[in-house]
Amino acid sequence: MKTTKFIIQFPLLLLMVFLINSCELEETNINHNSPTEVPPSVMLPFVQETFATLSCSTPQVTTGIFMQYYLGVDNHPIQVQQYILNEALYVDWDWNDYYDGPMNNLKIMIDLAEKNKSYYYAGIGKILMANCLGNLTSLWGDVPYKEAFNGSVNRNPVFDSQQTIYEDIQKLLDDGIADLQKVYSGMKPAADDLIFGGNTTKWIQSAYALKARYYMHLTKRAADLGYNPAQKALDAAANAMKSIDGDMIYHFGFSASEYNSFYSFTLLNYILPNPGFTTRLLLSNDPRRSFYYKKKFGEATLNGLYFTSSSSPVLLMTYHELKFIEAEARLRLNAADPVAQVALQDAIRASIKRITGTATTDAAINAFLAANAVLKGNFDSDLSTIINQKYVALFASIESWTDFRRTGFPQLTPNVGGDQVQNPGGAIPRRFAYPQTERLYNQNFPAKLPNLQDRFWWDL
Amino acid sequence: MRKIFTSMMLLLLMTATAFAQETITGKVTMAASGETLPAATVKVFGTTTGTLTDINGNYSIKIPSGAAVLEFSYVGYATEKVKVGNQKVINVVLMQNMQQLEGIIVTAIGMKAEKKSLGYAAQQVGGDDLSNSKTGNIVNALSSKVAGVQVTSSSGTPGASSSINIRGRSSLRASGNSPLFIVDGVPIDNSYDGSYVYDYSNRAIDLNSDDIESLTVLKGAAAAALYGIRAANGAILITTKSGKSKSGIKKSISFKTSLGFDMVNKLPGKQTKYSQGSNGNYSGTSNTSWGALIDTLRYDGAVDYPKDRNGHIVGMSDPAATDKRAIAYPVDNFFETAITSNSYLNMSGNNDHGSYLFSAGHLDQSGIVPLSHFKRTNVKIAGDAKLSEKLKISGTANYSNSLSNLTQKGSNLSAVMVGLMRNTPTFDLTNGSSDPVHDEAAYMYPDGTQRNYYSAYDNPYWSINKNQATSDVNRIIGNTQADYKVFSWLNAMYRIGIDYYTEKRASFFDNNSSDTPNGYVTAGTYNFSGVNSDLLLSTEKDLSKDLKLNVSAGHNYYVKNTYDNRQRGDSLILPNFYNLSNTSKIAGSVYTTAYKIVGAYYDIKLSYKGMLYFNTTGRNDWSSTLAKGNNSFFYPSFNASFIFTEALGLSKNKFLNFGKIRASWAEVGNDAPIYSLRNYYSAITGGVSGQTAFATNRTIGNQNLKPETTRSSEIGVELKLLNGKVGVDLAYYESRSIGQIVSVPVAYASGYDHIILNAGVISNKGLEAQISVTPVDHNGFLWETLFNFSKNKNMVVSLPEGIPLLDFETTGVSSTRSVAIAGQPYGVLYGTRYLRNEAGQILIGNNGYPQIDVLPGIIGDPNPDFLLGIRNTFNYKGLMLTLLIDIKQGGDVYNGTKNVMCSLGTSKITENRDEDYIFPGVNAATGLPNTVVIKRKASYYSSQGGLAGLSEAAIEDGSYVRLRELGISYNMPSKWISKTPFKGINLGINSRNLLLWTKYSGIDPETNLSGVSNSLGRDYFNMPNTKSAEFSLQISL
Repeated sequence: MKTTKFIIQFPLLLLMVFLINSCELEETNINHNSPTEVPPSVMLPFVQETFATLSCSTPQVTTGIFMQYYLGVDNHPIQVQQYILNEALYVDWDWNDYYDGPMNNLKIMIDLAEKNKSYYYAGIGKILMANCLGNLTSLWGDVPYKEAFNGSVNRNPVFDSQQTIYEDIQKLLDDGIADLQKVYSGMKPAADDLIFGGNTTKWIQSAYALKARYYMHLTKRAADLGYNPAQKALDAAANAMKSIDGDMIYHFGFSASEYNSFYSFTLLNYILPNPGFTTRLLLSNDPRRSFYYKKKFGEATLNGLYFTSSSSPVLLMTYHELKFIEAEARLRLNAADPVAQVALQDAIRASIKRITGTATTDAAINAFLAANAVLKGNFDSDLSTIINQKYVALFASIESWTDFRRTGFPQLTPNVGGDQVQNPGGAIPRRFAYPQTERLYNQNFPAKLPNLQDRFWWDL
Repeated sequence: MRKIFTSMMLLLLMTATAFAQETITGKVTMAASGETLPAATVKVFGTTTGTLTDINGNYSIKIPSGAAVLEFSYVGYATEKVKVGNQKVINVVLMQNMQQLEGIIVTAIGMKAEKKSLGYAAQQVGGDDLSNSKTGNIVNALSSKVAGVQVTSSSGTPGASSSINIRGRSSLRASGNSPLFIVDGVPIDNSYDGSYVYDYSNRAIDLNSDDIESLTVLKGAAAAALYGIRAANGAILITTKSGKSKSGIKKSISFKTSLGFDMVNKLPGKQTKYSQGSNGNYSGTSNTSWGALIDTLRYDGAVDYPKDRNGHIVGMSDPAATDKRAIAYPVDNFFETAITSNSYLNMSGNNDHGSYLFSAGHLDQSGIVPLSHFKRTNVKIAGDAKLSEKLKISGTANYSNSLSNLTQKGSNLSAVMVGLMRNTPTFDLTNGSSDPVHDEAAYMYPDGTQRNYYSAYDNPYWSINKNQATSDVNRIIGNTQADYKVFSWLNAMYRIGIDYYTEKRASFFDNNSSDTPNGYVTAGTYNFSGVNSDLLLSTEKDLSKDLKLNVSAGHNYYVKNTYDNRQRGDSLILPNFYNLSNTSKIAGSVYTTAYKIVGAYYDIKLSYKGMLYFNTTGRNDWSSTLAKGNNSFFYPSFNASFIFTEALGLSKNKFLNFGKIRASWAEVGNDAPIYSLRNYYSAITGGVSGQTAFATNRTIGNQNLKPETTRSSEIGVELKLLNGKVGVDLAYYESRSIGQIVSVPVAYASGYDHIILNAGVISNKGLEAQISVTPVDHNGFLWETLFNFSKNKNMVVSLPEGIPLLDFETTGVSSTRSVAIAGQPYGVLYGTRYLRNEAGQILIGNNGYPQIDVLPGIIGDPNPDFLLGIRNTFNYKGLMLTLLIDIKQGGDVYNGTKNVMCSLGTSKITENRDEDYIFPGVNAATGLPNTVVIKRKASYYSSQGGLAGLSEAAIEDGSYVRLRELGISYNMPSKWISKTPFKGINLGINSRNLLLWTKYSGIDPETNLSGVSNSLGRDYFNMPNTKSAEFSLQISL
């Protein structure tokens, strides 16, 4: 009888064990792989790296084809070469990578840092956020910002006008500078700041340089801003970095997953050097020539050079860009300002030093400057000289496209085959297409889908 | 404890020492044919004493003196009772029973039921039908054998994944559509870890189809309702072989061996007229093949040109030209004839107290792609023992080892098909080597860099040698079960089962591979453990003479744990040595998951006079993936079956022998994916520049998730006509899945890219027909035909608010995707398309080229209109011919391969490049028919969107008719082998995919870039499929 009893009881016993276990269902669902809270110090490396990646990636491929640094010969670049931007491809990836990559994490990091009174993290965060926003609006014009980064609380953030975005950029930079000037005893960035190693002075100088850049974007709007953007830019530049030592540069890490993405991209030969650009460098005997492109097995390639090696630095804001801004600002304020040429020549010298290092002698630089960087006191031709030189110095940078749209320089002939439905007339595009995901999922998406010739607020 | 032991021993003794008194012998034969009936049960009526007839229908039974009646029974035959009296020899003729012909079928939780009692659809497939399918993947073996089931293999490479769906797809989630796989009552993992680089297997591949006794497909929710939360997609119940006697044989040893051959069945055509180059000029550095006519080109005979042993290619009038003409090199000789060998040994035995089985199988399959292979070893033991009249125990253990050397698939620059199809005709991938697979000179320059026609695409001979991936799975699937008769009216069953495996994964890319010049090595371990416990109590009671009640109640507990350890080492220091220790930086991660379900269920069956059946089930589940308050849910089901022929007294009717109508309704569910409730931060593997780095996850979690609900209803009719010569089983079903737990995209500006919600409705409506016909059954010649027809309409009824389109997993080629759009069929293809006017005419620019719509749209529907499998079996004196025709009507496929090959000028289609052409359409400005004559040169294809191409231009009809299986087998007559020690010898030839008719211009249209997923109908340099033949020999002792 005991046997029978046992045999009946045994399954019931098992049942009991499992019922007890069922109370632990909630514990089962605890994710041991991922935390739900982290400090700003582990977010900073991520936001810097992802922002740097976006500064040497498909946005630069697209704008670089527009600006005729290179030709698109394979994959989507073939389409970009004909000014076709598939709303599901690069433009979608880029937009996505900005919003859910550095920007959302910056937002979280800034909020967290402000809560913890870790002001330097907040300050660096705001400067990087301003830089992200500046890039975004340069590519897409009106973009969501004020209502963005709210997750499930607001899945349909409105698109802010470009004018207000520029106000936000300046405010973010001002606030960032203020944060970095605070004295406090809490957490401070050091090795986790992969750009400046926690050096607040360099961050503040970079913030001023960015202020200058974003004021300068507005030159076409000088008449109705209520201030002269060139003057504002010049004022800001006065507090910016004093030499190439202050350059805001990101260096990628060692492993393949951390390679400079322009390296991986150019390796595939989707883009090749544009003969128009290589001829320009050849004709001017530009010392940076062999750092921009080379020949490999008879094929001209962009890969493995200054901007396109696995460990290539990403130039986020530089002394030489600042000096070009200063030269242009001075020219705009006073076409006869002799310091404009000084600034221009400083800019080119800094660029050559930055890119070629010790490979170019001072004599060679001076010869190059004498032949290519002399201002004549004529606004139009001097502006052309400054922007054409800036175009060469800011190889692959999206700033060149902004300069082109602001000033019309360099003068370029549009690519063949670019006159199609998305780009009526076939001229060089004035903007990126909005991404498919935003069109589909944001109910506040602009009612009228812009074409690539539609102009931004600052692009009159 | 000692008491238990003693009582068990006593019980054993009691059964062993039967009170032997009298011996009765005799023979059991079939009424219809007069043939002897092996394995019929002979029992002393009212006792458990019994035996089975042997292979010749003979039996011998010792009965206690005074035993009055012997009972003879066999499935499908009417039971006979014979009074013994003074007889010593009793010969019995059993009559076929039309109603019982339906047989017994395994249903949910392993409960057996008479098929005629089922109020839902379940279809059984015999083990032989599976093992003759000439495929290593059990899922493929089900192709076109079951109505309502769609199988899609991703490619013909060994170990490639295959997806299976029963009655359409009910979930918007990629992993939410696979049926539950149950082996001997234990749920097993059939997961698929997608990768766009390699095609990993779906894990049901670890099963050996030779081990399978039978397989039951439980279609739809009502059939699988007892599995509750996991039942939404139906279930596949696999019963593996046991030692239980089937043909009266006490001991059986059988050995089977086969040798098979696989070849590519279809490849895209490549042009052979034009050289590498552009604008009609040869260039040895171009990535395109828009060069000169090859006939006009010669070699210069230079011996120092590493790209070609014949020298440079020059024009025929070039001073350096020799007499040696340039030629177009074929690439299809890259594929090999693959060899598959398969051996299987099975030994079993049984007696009155139990049975045992041992089996071992080994499959060794090489691939059509050189160096790829799949090898599997299976060992199985099973046994059962009757410990007492009340207690029976049984258990099985299946061990398997699956070893794969995987092939690169499409959408990646090292993919074999990318290298082959993009290669220019004038570049010899082998460099003249007679054994390019093993000859480094074919694919590598002396300095270790790669020899390829264009630096972006790996030479396929390089890829197979230098970029490899392996998977090594050791797996145990087993269970033990105890059946105990607690009281005369109460049975208890307890079963605990485990599915445990470890997969070791490794892959490497050597230095100088096209997109990984510094190479990398990965190594990983994935552990899966699923433990399932079932307790089932059941009772049977005759409420009256005609009314029977059967009640079962059960408890289920399932716990699943996974562990995923991945290591990656970047930058190989030494080339050609693929070990983590040979890399400059190693980064790793570990990801674990835990999951539990607790369920309690009941099953109540009522039957009236064996003609009216009613069944209701209910199950309550508690799942760990949902928050407290939302994690408990109840699922009911009802079904009924009515044998109207019985009620109308038609069972003796010559025309209609059997008729049944059935109906069912059920509600089942699906819980949330693991860890869906919260927002998390994730570490960046390996950190960032040496710094620990975390970022917020891009998916927003949701505390308020509720389980998904699928409601389905079905009606069906089953008929047997003309003495069973014609059988019809028709079903119409509808199912609706609501409150889908789905990760929906959000505007990126929200800072995230997805949020997990309960929303969206999917519906399936369909018609299934199984029609069996026996056109000839005469003089030992038997011809049987079985039609399996399925038509399913799978619609996305609605999507969450504000979500006009939901992307399914998109592996590569993001410009053309399979998506969900409300009001559209499930998984429509979405991509770039021609610009059209309101009348639907394509608008043509002044240059004669079609214009492209700025906005993409729906361009195709990958769902087939219907599937039809026609199986013919011819039997004559031991000779059997099986012929399975598989028809798929409709279903679009995106042929991305063609688009790229056209753009690059390698497609056969581009041989028309010098012909005049007017693109059909109207001029965009004038609206008049287009008259501009163009040549379809490179600019024509690039104006359609360049390399990835205009999606719409690549949509093709994926319909096909194929000879899925053709087999001949021969059972040697017993008189030939009667003097040998063998009981049976069978010779066979089986083939698969021998013939294929399709309009699709690429590879075999049964393909899917995304493997097992809900993304459908895309071909982008997918690996081709195969046709195969196998010779087999089976011997039984």
